[in-house]
Amino acid sequence: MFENILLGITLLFSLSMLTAIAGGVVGGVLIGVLPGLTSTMGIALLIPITFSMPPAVGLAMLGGIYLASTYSGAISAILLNIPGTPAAVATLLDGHPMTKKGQSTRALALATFGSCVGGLISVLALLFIAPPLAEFSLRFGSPEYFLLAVFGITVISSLSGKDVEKGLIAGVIGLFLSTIGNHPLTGFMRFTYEIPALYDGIPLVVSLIGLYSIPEVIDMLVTRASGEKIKLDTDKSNPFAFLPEVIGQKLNLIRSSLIGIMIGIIPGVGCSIGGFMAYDGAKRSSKTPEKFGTGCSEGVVASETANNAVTGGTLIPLLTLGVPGNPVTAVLLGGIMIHGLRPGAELFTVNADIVYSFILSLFVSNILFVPVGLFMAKYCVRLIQVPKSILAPSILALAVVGSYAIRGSVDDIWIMLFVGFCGFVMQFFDIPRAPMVLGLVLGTMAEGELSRSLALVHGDVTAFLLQLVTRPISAIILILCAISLFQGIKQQLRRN
Amino acid sequence: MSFETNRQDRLISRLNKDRVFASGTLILAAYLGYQAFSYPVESAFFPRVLSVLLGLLALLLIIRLSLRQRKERSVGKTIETDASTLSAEWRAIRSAGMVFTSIIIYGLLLTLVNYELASIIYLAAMMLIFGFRRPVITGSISVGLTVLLYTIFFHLLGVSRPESLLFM
Repeated sequence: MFENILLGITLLFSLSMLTAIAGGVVGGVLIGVLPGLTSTMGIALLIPITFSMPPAVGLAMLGGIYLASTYSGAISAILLNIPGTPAAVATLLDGHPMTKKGQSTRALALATFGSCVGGLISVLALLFIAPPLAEFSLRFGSPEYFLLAVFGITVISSLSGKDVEKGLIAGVIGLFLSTIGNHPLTGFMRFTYEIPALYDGIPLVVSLIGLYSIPEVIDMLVTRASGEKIKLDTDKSNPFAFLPEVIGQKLNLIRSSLIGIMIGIIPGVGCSIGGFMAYDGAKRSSKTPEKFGTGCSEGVVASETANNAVTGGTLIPLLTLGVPGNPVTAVLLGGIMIHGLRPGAELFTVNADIVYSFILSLFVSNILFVPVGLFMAKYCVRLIQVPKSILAPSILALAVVGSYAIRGSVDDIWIMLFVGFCGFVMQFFDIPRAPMVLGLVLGTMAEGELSRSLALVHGDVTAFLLQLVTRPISAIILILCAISLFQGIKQQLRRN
Repeated sequence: MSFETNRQDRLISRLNKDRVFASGTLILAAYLGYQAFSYPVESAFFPRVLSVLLGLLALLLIIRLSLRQRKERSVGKTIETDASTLSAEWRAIRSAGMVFTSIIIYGLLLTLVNYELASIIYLAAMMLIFGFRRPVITGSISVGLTVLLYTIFFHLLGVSRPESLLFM
């Protein structure tokens, strides 16, 4: 492993890598600050830019966007009481009250340093947990990989919406979209209606752009009439003066990081839950729990440390098993796959240089967003004042040009429009989009592995089903699928 | 209208929307199943399974919604939809119509005139339509963003510009 780390370091310290990381971090901070622009949408829109880059450089940029946007949601949460991303919701509780007391720089510094520590610890966990887990995945055969895809969709379907059926329907529709085009083994054309642009299937990135940009823009237009004037902050103290205060909260930092990593590893739970759980943990173990909610530094540090620790956690099942933990990593998986890489043992052996440079780039991103975030924070607030009547057309233009750029085909604009329409219909009917993304991303793998499994038993469906319950690993994955469905149904019943 | 009645109306409205969605999904499953079963089994086993699964899930949702509505009715809840929910839905549909039409026009413009002209016209027109009425800023942003996207995609990434009928 250490040779691979050295290999990764050699790749990391090239001008193109460092520029990509810096670009990703700056872009990520901007995306996270702007309410309405989510990390998922940002990555989906920017994948076309990374498409023609070398895989290591492209992935480093996407990683930078992911980490920085998760962190920078806290900036608007602290300064304006508007969480830039769902991950920053728990930060509102104490971050904004600190701003009201005239301590915005302190709150921003605590959030930034906390995020940095949480992110660094989680990347360390990724670096040491992922390789053995990837090696373990060598024991997986076609049935196990098929079931992993099913597991990913079941988990996200069960946990991402109000109704389990709706989540599962979204997942199945995503899987259906992935079957458009030729069959992975026989090459037979399905659902193409003699449209040449569909022969190779729906391009993943184009559909991600459609699914995450168009419904968001529509939503932006529906909610654009908020004429509230934003009050800019005037606190000008030195943020680095608060570094010792963060370092002083060692136990809080470690506890919140561990909570974040664990939450990240469990698919479907997400950054905001991680933030809330760590906040709750900090409150329970605090000597002054009554101060929580009034501008308490422990609360800001706990929630921000945890939500950035989630990022490294979510990458563990993503890189080793191909199971994304949340919608952002589902899109990131798409970004990994368009570079011809496949998660699992192969990624850590054949493409070790790429994956290790990617993991190491996350260390750099985590450190880089500290000065970038602290410097940009106050200026970013002005960006929030950009009217949605400017932001919406700009996103649409980027979506159209980005979709065209993937294959240099105007037909892809129409495909993006079609998937965007599906996304709008889903948003209109309150159907979660994350399972559909996962279905789209994992569909080809699921169908390929299913076909291979069936071929191994000469097309005998009963023998295939028997295989699923008799092979130990596949039986465990089946049980996990059942547990996740049960959890989803239990939650639904409790809500009703 | 009291808050509680509003809440009940919204709930009923959601139930109606859910029923429309479930019925639509059932029709979609039937259509996709019809298509999938017309392909050879070795190339369409997965879509066949998916169509059956989709149909079953839609049926399950319809049954659950019917049971839930029966329960709501038994405690005397009305089936009317409140005006604010309806107006928000119409606003969403109107905005969606505007966005989809605009992208179709932009796509067609790209193939008719060139990328630069199409993008500047599109961006300026959309800002105007969405309510931004400051011509100098509109013009500057339209030109600036067009140049930025051109530089990233067509200059730095080397993607070839879309072929157009009228201009190069």
